[in-house]
Amino acid sequence: MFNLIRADVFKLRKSAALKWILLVACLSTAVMATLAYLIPQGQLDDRLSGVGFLFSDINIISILGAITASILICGDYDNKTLHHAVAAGASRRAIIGGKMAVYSCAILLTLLPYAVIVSTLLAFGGEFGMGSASIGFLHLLTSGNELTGAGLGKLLAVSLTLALVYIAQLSICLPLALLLKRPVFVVALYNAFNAMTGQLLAFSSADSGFGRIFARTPYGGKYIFSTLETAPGDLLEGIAVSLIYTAAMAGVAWLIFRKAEIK
Amino acid sequence: MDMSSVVLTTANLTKIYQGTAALRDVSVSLSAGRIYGLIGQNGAGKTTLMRLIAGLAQPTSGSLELFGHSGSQALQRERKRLGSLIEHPAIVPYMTAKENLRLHRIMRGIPEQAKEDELLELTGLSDTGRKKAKHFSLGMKQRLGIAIALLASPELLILDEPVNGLDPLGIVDIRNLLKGLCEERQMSILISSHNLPELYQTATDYLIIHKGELKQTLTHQQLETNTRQHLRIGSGDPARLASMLETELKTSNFRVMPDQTVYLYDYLDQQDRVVRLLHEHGIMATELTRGGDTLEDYFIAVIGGRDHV
Repeated sequence: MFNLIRADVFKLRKSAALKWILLVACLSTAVMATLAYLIPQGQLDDRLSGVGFLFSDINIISILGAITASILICGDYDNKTLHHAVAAGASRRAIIGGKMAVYSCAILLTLLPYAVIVSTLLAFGGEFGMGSASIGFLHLLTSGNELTGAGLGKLLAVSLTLALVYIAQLSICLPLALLLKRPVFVVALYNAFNAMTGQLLAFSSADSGFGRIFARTPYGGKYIFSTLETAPGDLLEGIAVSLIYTAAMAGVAWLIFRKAEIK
Repeated sequence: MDMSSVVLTTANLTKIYQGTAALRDVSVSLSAGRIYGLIGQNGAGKTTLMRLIAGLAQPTSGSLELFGHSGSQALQRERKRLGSLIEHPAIVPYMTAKENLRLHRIMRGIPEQAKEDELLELTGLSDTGRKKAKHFSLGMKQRLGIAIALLASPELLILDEPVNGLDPLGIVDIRNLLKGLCEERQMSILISSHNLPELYQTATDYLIIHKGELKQTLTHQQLETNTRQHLRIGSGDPARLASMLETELKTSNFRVMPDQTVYLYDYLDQQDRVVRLLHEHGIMATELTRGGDTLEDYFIAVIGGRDHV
């Protein structure tokens, strides 16, 4: 599996698409951070908060993450690299494990600009806001928490939790890409799924049975709204839920790929 | 056959797609150091056989043994000793030839970096420099595909239409390369091609496959014998014709072919005598021509004549 991971990393390093993805992530972070700073100052109309939210991590990562899955899986189907790995004796389990590992790293890399900028802005302090709409790193930025020296560890833990929640959310792209094999379908279907879970999040009530279950998935509100005030136990729970969900999606991907004809 | 030299054995290998048999009861045995030409029309089952060997598809029934090992885990392990180019080469378009080789070298865990230059040289791609693979001609892509297949110094090389898109000199280069690998490294090669004259010059053995069934396996020597100069006699009753040849011409030097024609290897310059005898015995000859088969003619005869093409 290690060789497969190394090969995928080599391939991504040479890929212009990944460089574009990182560039888009950096630019989107800059737009989000600028709007989050200028809107509360009154220097920009707060009606622009919708634009700011559009460039926030939750929206950008769902598009870029699905594209990354397409590059990793659909691209390998297209250029027959996947076929060659199987024909060269790589186990299908190792292929899926390797893909999930590289995919997770690529998501982490894409989230890095958000994590770095949000952490830096929190360290400098100041007022940030984006109206009522804020999730993930944008929510962390606009939560009004102040970062102290002692809070650095907590910030790291929250960032890690958020990153793992995003990885878990996007992990469904792996089985989707194995099934659909076409990038456009993967991106479209994941974003439709993401919109649906967004609606469920908005409408699910915390006291209903469904609400309680949904809150404990990576798509529920419990973990994606983590801030510096979130209890360590909840962060640990978020990390555990995300890891379990990601592993489950890797399992689903393996079930799909295990005996599949590779055409 | 020395069993230690057997690299691949299949027994009643069958693959059915949506009720249609792409491959039916194929049993073959491939030995080390030989080049097997896999001959068949489009859709005959050549690629399906190769895909099953490479693990890209699972057989519906039958068994497969690689280097004396069977079972899914063992087959997966033994596939590390394979090199393959099936349907299309595994090339990443935005990488150069060398980067593509590096990708596959890393994937297979081969530490020797020098292999990249060695294979580029061997396949005539050493001057491609920084040119991306997406700008390669079809022939260059095929060469790169062959280089990738050779990376792990395979003991069994599977090549599906490897000379597709190659110019005449390129075909000669690849032929010499494959023959050299077979002789020097005792590598076994299973190669499919529609270019039968080329295959005739490359292969040491032939597997003729038609509509998913293995029709015949024969060595190059057997093919030479079967395609030597002969009188081709067509008749509605090959059994009577054979009997007449034995009793009247006192020869058993003939063969009844799968398309029911008889190849007579004697009396080549006495066609009038043969015609007279046929007439005297009331055997209606539908065809009487002199010829020596090419591999193409032989293939057509084995699959039952042109009506079956």
